[in-house]
Amino acid sequence: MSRLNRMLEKISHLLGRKPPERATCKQLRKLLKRLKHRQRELEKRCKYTHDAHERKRLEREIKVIREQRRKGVHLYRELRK
Amino acid sequence: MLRRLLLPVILVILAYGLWLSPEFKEISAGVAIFLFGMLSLEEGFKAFTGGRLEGLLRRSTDRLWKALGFGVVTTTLMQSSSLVSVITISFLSAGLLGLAQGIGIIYGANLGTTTGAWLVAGLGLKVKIAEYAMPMLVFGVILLLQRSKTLRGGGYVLAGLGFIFLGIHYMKDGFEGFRSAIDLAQYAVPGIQGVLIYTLLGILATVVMQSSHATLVLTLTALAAGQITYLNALGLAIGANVGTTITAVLGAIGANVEGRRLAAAHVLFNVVTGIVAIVFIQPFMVAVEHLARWIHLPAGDYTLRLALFHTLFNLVGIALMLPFTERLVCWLERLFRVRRPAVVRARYLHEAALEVPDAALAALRKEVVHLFEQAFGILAHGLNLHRETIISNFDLDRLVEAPPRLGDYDVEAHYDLRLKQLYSDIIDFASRLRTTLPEKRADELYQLRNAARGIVEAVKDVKHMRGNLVHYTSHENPYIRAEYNRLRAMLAKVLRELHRLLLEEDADVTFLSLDRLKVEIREMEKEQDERLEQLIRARRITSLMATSLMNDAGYAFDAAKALINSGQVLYRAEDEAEDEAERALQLEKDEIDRLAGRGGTP
Repeated sequence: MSRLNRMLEKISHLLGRKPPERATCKQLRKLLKRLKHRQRELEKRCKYTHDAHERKRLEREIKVIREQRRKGVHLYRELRK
Repeated sequence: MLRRLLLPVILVILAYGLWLSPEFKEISAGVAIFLFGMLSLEEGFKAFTGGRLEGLLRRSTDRLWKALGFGVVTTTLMQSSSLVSVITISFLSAGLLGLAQGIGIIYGANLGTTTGAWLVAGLGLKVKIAEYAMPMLVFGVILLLQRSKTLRGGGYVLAGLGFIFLGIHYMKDGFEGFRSAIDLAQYAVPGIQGVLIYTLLGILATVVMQSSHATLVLTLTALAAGQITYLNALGLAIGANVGTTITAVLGAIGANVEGRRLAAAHVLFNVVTGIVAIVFIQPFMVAVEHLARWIHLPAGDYTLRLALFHTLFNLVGIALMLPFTERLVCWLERLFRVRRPAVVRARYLHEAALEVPDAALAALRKEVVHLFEQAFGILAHGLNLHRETIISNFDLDRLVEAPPRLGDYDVEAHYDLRLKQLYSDIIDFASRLRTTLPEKRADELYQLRNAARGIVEAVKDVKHMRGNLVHYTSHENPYIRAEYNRLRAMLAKVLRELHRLLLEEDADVTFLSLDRLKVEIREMEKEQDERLEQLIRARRITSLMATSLMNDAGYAFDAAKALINSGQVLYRAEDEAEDEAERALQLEKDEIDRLAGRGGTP
């Protein structure tokens, strides 16, 4: 990497930009937390919903989030290693 | 006519001068070598930074003070305000920067460029600069011949610096030679009259050479050789500062209205600063003298005092203009208005954006989002729904049951008016960009082009199904009506989700929400197949209705998938790492199929 590029990298680091992998790991954790929160919220809503159509929609969303979280946890563990 | 005559006149005058005086020949050669060095330096920085400068620009200009700092630092590092202003214009044209931030960068670049005078006055004229030029040229040219882009960029920078040093050396020698032959200082004009005349000369020289650096170096070397007076040199420095705006004006010719606004701000800033410097030339000279004593500049060293004056009047200009930046933005927005053509054309794709790959790709992305914005209205009306209905929070499954009102909507005509030219502009820009884009970014370009194609194909799909859709949504048979309404609701949901994702700023929708939509569509496809069989078996719909429904369902599902795929390409989270994380969690096709109960690996 050229000196200028290294310098630009340092400047961008000073301006608040972290190295890509560390940043992704942190973002992934944040994203997983957000998804977990969303899943809990949907599960709560699903529990009190009597409308079959709405219930089906919520269940579908929960199912998708669960799958995304499963994938995310796996990836997070890989990155941590 | 005048423009055509200008070049031959300049060439004849130069030829006469070169024939007449060997000193003039040396100075002119010095200027030519210096300018060539500047070009080489710019070329080197373009290749050298490989998109990092653009990335930095995008991240570090969200506040006016940051933009100002960015302008100062980058121009100081690269010694080229032209390169910084051209990149700024291209980013502004691409809609990646606000006008206020762009103006901040230009203010900063004006201050950053004054460091050049300090370097030349402090080092260039004091040490034997040509001795450094030779090894730089040798190493620079060797690096230039390398395959690696970074090494080649480094070669350009090194050779550029070598040529610049060599140019300064020739200019210095030329003026030294002049001293023994004639004394140019006898043509000095005293007082304010002299400042005015030399300011005009400075503007003229900078416009001709398109480099304020060259004018300043010429001024400094002449001043060091005692060929011009200090007061006249100040006039030349002011002129160079005003004349340098020509680069921004030329850069703005290929830019959109935003670029033109920035160029106007650049001209305004430099002209106002120049007028202030001329009007208050005496107080400025006194201030320079005080400061020179304070920072222990050698007595009688007028070259360093000229550099100090250059920095000081630019600083004063920034202090004067900075508080009025917001007002300046409003005024420029009123002065240069955006005209809306009858046929929708590209908003962000301009020649200036093509200069920088990062800016060009970002401009293309924004343009494809613009294409989606246009297609959104056509698709909504094509489905016999209003845009507002889709954007609202109402239950779409119920809304589609309301009687349709847009029976005579012509999708084809609206496609011609709002999409055709825009799509052509996108394809044209993408093709031109492909020739200049580095190989590793080509994939991004193809994806964006495919996203645009997906949107256009979705419109065509809706156009194909519209005839039957209008017919069957008002049909007396409730079964066929319900089936077509389901297709309408499904497409409307896709449009609503994409609208929130791409066009609404604080919407509670993320890239990952599209996975839910994909699962829903897969489930719908499966359910629709089953329902269709039952309807035919129970003779609820005729065979004619069934074949129409089968064809139109195909169009509708294709359109939905194409739109979602385009949405996934177009979406970008604010933070690069966040975007990467979301994309990593996106579900694959077999995972979607499994969740929708259509096979796939468990």
